[in-house]
Amino acid sequence: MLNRHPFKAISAMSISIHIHKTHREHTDGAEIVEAQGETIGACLNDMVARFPGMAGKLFTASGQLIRTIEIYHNMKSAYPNELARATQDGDEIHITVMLAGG
Amino acid sequence: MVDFTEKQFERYNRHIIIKDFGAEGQAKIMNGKVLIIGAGGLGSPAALYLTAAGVGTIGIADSDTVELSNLQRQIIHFTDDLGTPKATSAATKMKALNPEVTVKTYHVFVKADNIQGIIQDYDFVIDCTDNFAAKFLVNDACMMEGIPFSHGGVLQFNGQTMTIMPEKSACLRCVFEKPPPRGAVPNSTQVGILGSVAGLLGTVQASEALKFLTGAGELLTDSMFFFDILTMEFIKFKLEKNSECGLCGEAPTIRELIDEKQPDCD
Repeated sequence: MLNRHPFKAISAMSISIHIHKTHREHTDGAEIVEAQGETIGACLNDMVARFPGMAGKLFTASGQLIRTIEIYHNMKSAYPNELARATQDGDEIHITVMLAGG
Repeated sequence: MVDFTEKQFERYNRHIIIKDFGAEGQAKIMNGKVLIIGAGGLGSPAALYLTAAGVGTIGIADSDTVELSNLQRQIIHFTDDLGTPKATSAATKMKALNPEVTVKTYHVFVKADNIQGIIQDYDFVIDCTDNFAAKFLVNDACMMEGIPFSHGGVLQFNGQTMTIMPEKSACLRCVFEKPPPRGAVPNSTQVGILGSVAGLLGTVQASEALKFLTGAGELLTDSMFFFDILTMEFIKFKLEKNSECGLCGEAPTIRELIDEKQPDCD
């Protein structure tokens, strides 16, 4: 059957980003933010466009991921080259923060 | 066949009667040697549980002395211990709990030029340190010496831990290239730590040591375990050895131990 709305399917693509608790003050308290993008980096940028306060929590001034941020893609570490990893509809991204307390 | 004394059989009875663990498992524990680096929030429960379990030799390394602000979470130290070296304070409680355990104390700042001499006599190391530079040093030293170890970190209501089997599983640098800049992540002095959170994670780390010694179950290798005590979310993420890892990858660049300098925040 002919898909009359091929681009609609793409625009409906949704990736769930699980926000670390320490970052939720920047997402209006949301634990999960739905985002769109074909890479993890694009998804994060889509989120940052709506929640600008997340930018400084995730990225350095030069746009690189801050070293203490851990990104898990579908429950698996996305390190290294996290931002370039391709995403698909329904994927889950978890953002966590490295902890050093003892 | 394991020969326990009557008192040993009674003391360790609840281990011995565990199916698939039994007397053989307890004997392995009693022959084991575990080093705990850091006698603080994580090290306290780890030391107490390993001592109670009867681990043959336990090393406890810490250069600090007990302060009043420690006592909210560092349960191996008591009010009367204020000003006492933490290693000494911990050893006193451990010997009182189980006189059968050999306790070795290291009242030193563990750094690049002494860590290998300290860890080399142990079967398993538990990283209970409280800063990124120390955690990377423990990682690098254990990897170079081929000693399995448990990494752990806590802050506020969160904890994370992974177990590393050198040459077999992902190490800390497979997941994190190097320590973050100083100030990039707040520490417990700045934002606090719920005492019981440290207790929970230190207990998980002690469990990993006991599992390693006995061979029971599956270690937390190639995994990062996270929990948030506020929401009671417990998550285990999958990790893989990283072929680009500077320590254990295909072309390692880290060949000697260094005391990592954490640069100012970038």
